[in-house]
Amino acid sequence: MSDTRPRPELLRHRAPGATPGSRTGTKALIKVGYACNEHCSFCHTLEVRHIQGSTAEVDGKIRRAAELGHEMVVLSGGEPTIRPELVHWASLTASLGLDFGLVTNGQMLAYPEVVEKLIARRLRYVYLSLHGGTRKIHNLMVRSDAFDAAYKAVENLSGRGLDLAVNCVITRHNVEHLQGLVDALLPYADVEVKFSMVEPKGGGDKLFDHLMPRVELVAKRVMEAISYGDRRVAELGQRGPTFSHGAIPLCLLPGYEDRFDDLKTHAYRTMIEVGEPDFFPVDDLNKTHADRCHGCALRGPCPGLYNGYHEVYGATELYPRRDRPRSNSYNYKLEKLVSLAFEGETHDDCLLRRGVGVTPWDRGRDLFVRNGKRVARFRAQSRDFSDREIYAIKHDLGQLYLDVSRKDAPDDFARDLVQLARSPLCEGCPSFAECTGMFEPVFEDVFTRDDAKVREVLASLRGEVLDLGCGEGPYESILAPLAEAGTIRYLGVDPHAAAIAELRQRWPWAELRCTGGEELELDPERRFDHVLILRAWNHLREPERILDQLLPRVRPGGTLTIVDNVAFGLARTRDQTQRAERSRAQFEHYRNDSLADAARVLEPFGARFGLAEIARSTVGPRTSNQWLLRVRVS
Amino acid sequence: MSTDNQTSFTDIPEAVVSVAATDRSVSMVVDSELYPLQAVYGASYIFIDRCYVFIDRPEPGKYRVTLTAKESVEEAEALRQLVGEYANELLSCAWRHQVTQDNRVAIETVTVQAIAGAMGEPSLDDLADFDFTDEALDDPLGIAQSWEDKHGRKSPAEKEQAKAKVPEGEAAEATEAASTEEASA
Repeated sequence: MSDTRPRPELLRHRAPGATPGSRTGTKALIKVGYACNEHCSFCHTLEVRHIQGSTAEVDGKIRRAAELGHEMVVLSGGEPTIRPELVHWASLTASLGLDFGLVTNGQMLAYPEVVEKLIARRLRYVYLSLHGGTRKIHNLMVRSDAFDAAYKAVENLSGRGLDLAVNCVITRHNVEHLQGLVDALLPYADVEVKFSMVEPKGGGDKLFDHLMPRVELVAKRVMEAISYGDRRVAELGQRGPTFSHGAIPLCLLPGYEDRFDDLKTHAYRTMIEVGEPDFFPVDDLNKTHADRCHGCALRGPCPGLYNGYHEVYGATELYPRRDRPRSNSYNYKLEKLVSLAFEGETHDDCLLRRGVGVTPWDRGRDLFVRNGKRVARFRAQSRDFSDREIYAIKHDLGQLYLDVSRKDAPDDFARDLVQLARSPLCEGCPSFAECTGMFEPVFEDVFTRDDAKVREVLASLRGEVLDLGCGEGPYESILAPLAEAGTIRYLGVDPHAAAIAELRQRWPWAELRCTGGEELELDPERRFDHVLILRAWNHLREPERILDQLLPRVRPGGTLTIVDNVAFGLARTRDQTQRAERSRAQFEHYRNDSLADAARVLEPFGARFGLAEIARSTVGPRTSNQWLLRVRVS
Repeated sequence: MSTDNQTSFTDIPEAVVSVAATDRSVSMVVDSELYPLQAVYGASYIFIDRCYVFIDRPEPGKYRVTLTAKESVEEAEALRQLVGEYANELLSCAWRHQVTQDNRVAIETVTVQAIAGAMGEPSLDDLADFDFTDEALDDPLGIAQSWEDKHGRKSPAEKEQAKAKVPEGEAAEATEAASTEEASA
């Protein structure tokens, strides 16, 4: 900045109530228009830069954000700070009791007076673009003489109690210069420096060959930059800056997986483009998880690859991690009692179609539950599961439950959980397909009902039985009489020493081994009439290898029975959620396979062992989360 | 604490202290990677009623703490007790320091919110100085104008109009030239 005009002495107030890094307030992102004072080569909105939202349109959207219960309005573009209405919008936001934020290239914030005016109007969050630590690199990226102003903005904003993030988009032009940015930002300890893979959209798509670096190289350079930054921060004895990354598959960032950063980690809930009638939830639909990512333990928080990148380069650079356990459930935390006197009977009366709105709610993560006259809203913040996985669990598999226990974790599903299913209110609703839906409790014990099929199979067993993952012996009432009558000879295997020790006391009729499925060693001549893998399939690290070892041991005419559970969501109160999240329970599942997933694993063995399916129970809405697949070996 | 020094206290593992010749003081060398300086200050402060405390840095990465008893010490056991008490206090201070660091954000959040709440509404004097206008921001450097306006480039709509006015072959050349220009910028 070369402006030397005399200015009144500015008081640098700290924004009250704002704390660096505090990201609890939910944000609504409003695009005010797409014009910009820079012309980044990778501009997302390259084709629409001439479109600007009107003052009245943005005013209305700010009011709607307040109505939806958001705690912060964040303006973006294009470049929102070049709009003359900027202060008016900040004032309007503050007058509605909301905090104010900006996604910006920061140039206008080089004026100290602008920063003061905005902080006085509850500016609490700034996400500022800086793509290099020098004029040469940054100006090349944004095709403007912008570095000095953007860097001055960082100086003006730092130390003001703001949640301040500096985003660096990585293209071929700056991928080798990331440490320069780290050096430039070291003086600003309250800054989060984020390194983001360029998105193949707008300019990033049009100039794909010119801009797009290979993601493996980006990951390598980002890890080097973060490692360098961490080391320098420690050497300086500072508490920051902190470093994070975005839109890079986590398998390429070993040791830095927990530094991922995206719209959700910034507590964005909804966004709205110019001309759209209402808000939409933020989502990751511009990214994809390749087929080879199936079963990867990092899949939940992993952004995957941009669709456009995957189309060109595929997923050959990825290394899925299947050697780590993952969660098999997630929580929906109670956020709000939406109504205490709801009496609607058809979709025309539904709260979501009247005022609350259909489009602003995430179809997977937001959950509305009606119980009589009361309607409550829950929210799943979990990053153990991806958006797509949560959507599938909620809508395709229907595996949502209300936790009616007072336990940290429910252990008796039939008593502790009440299933939630789509409300009759939704029947015939024209918004059914795009709505997050209204759900109601189903007062039926689906777990006991569906487990009857397993009990039926067990009661029919004859001969030599191998039970892989026998656990604590939940089917004693069926197996014990069969074994004691000599109808079956039973070998139970489980890696948990305590469970096996306890079973040895209770089951004198059983042969029991304490070992994992992968480590099980059997006499070469040992054969079985039936192999059971009951709720142990997803605990196996390498099910293919185990099938390869066990199927040759099944006598012709014998059977293989696989039973397991898909993942599920639990609607809980705030106390229950807090207790559960404090729990130190270890994950035990390596996957959350469905019947279809298990069938895919079995497929290569089909011809070799003459496998023929003889029973199956799939999971869907109004069933429990347990599936069963039984094949005969011929 | 350092393992370099020798000690006469056989029950203190790995020889962590040395006893000065006066028999009234004891020195300990502390590894600064294990114990932050704040913890050394904190632990030393506890002893200032009983001892004179001297802290110096004999070499990089080490602090030396010398405790000199204010009153005469009859037996070596009393010095050993000082060392033990100091070591425990140092560990306690280091741990408390770590807990404080871990909770810093939460503490700051609560404190700032409490202070902001306690301050109440701005006074009339504060309000008199406040700029209530929502007028456009002063922009002496001309930052707040679009890149297209600043560089005299046409908007897509204007480009379309211009393209419609020129013969087809020339329009294609113009488009190609524009793309090349963007790619090389």
